[in-house]
Amino acid sequence: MAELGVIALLLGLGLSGYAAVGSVIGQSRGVPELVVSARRSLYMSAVAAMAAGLALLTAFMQNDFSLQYVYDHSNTVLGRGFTFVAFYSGNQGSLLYILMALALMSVAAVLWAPDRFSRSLPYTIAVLAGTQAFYFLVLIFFASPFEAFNGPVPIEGLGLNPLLEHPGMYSHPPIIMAGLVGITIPFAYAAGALISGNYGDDWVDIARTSGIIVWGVMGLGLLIGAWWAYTILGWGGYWSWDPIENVALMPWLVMTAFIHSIMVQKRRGMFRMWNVALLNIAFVLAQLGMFINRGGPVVSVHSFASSSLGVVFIIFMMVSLVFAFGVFLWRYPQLKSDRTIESFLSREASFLVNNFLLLAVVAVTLWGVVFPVFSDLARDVSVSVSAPYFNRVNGPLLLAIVAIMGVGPLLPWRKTSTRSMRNWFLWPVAGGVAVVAGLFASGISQWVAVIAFGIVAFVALAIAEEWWRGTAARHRGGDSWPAAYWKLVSGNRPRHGGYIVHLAVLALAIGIIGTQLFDQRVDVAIFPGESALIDNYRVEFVDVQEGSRADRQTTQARLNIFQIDRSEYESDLSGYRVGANRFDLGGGSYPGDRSVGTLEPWQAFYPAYNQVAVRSGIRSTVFEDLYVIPSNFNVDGSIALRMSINPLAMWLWISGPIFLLGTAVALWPAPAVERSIATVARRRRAAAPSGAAENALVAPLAAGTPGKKMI
Amino acid sequence: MQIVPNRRFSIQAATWLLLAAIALAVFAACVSENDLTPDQRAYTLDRELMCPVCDGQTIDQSHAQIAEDMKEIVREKIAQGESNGQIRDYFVARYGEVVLASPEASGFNLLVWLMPVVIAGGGALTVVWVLKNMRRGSAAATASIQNSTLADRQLEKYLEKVDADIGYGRDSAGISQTTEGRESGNG
Repeated sequence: MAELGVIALLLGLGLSGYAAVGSVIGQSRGVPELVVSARRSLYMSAVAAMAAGLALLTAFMQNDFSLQYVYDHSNTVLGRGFTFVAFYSGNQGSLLYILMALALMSVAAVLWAPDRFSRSLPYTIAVLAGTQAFYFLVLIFFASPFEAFNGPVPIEGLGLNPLLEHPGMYSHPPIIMAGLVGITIPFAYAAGALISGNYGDDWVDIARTSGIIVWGVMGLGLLIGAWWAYTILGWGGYWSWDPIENVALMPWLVMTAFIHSIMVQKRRGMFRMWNVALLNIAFVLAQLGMFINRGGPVVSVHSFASSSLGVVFIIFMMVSLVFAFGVFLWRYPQLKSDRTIESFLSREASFLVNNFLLLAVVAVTLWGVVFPVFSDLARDVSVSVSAPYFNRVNGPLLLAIVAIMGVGPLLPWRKTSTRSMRNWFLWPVAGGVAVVAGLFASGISQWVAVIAFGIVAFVALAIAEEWWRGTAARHRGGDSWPAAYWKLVSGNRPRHGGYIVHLAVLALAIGIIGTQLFDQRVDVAIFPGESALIDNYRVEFVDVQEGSRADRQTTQARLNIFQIDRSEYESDLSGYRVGANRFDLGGGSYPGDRSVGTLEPWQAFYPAYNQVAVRSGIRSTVFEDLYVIPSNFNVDGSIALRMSINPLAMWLWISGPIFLLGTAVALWPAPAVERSIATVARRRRAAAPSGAAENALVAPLAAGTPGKKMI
Repeated sequence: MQIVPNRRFSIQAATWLLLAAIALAVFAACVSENDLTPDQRAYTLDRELMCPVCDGQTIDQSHAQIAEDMKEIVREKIAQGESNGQIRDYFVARYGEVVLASPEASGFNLLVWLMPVVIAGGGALTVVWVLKNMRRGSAAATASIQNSTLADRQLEKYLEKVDADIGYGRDSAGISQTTEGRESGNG
């Protein structure tokens, strides 16, 4: 099997290398046969990548410990279901997985490119094949999963890191890895268009669609990662601004900027250079992520895939950087905008502000990630830059992004009249102010949170207003309410899909505000029969159950949860109190107590790894989560509980399905009407004299306009 | 389409500046410390101190013994009436600056805090500069709109109708799907 895998990798390197070189030569020298054979060899290099993957999978299935990688990451006890997880749980296997994902996506990208893109496609193929060739090269020479075990073949492997032995491993790592490498696709479209001198907007539609797909996949991967950390990993949080989290977030933010500003190019023929620049930045940041993840200089909790590959990846990152911006600067003069921004209060201007804010978060985050390296170099002193820093500097910027999410859609393209401003902003602003006033009146003193909720209300009302007015207009035209709403949404899917995604962002914002600004914590140790109090909950410790399995010893606590009237416990007429937040009711209760179920958090000890895994107990409602971690089972029979109230935490996860729905709506093919306009506009452009060939969805408004600025 | 540059410009700029001011106020609020109970202070400090032996975790997140011990020390020192600054200094003296989850804003480390302000400020200025330049160029664009072909103007009209259809700025009733279809077919 190992030989087969190595042969597949070597073939893949040859095929992708040939595809990259042949494609460029064939197209630039005008040899169509060469172009076709290069394309086919890109398809075949995907087959080679899949064959290598299959070889490794088979080795895992057969417990072939003659391979170092299989020995390191699997054993005979490991459930067959986790073989796939073991496949990408280490450095080499995950690189092979990334290559497989890229190879499949490349094939799809080529098959899916429209005819009118055919002049640029060979260069796109060259970029895709070149990137694949890099991964083949790394897998063959620097991180081969098929490396033989050094010594006599062992009969048992080391097994999978127990923290990874969870169904969550099926989703978060493969999704986020596929999303990050997927940025190559829109990047390759844009690069192909630029290299071939196809300065028009032929690449816009496919780059936008593939960009949204990749962006959606990455967003989903990030969210599942947060959910997994919160519900499974048992440290009580969902996002820690860890360097690896940051390097995955940054390309996603840049892609967020891209899928917004690409709409301006689609609709108004502006921001051309800027859109290419955004894809370049996203692609280079994705390479930076690979570098930091694989042996970079920064400390991270995600360090299981680290290796000495740092140099290889930093070289590839530099090459990407030089290539991407080299092409960009070479073609810079041709990337003029058709039009200019006419007003500060226009949709275009708000997109510009949105892009600025998103990139500011990226820049600030990047600065925080690399600052420890600077500090080491400059003063030889190690410093940490962690959550408190990022919360403080990114918090206001993120809130501003939420705010602009409400402002932007209310501004029409081009310019806004004062009347229209008043007309559209009245109700959302009034609603936001009302929420602020209401929250202050109800005694919430954290004014950061109050303002943040006010902004959330403003944005929600802005979206509601658009939907309401659009639906009402169609309803007056004779449609029933649901039909009217459906027609509104399907009439402009990118826009209304975007609004649905905005609602998901609002849900996320609500969850973040609640959990970050209103959380409560109690740490207390209690004996069986005793109860611990947090907020309006009483947690009664019933008993401990010990268990053991082949590879682990588990200790599980049974906890009864009651909702209580806290004032009864504070006055404590029956004298149950035995300590701070600690009560011994001896089977009794106060009248306000109401049982709301049990929680069974546990700890598992894996002797072979000398590692402890903790599973928290969570009681979740839309208002708040009661989150209980058994931080220690003490020898005296007591249990140390780390309890927290995480208000509005469920909203973090509610955002997930809404996000997916909105992304799907935005991606759904445009109705025939809009497509026909695009076709007409394109045909006219083809017929027009070459000087006027630059335009967007609509006709060449500003063809040959002198002295205009570009972005 | 006549542009009255100075007055409208200042109104629009003021709107954005107002938004920026709100953001800045929120920023200031995030930085300032609130009056907290000793327990809350302890949990806040837990989140500002890194566990020296764990990769990238604060003592709040970590289950390691040293993290538990450090939490204990934090609570003792709070009970003894020490300030947050004194407690931080104590841990810095023992473990070095790396123990702080975010660097103190002084000396070389001031850089880490100043750069975001520079990025945000510089970025905002760039946006204003770009917009101003573009607006100056837009008089030319206006002229070219007037020179554009009949068909172009029909497409423009279609887009305006789309705006109207979803209710932008004017009474939007009575524009039905069929109108849209016909417009675009002819365009």
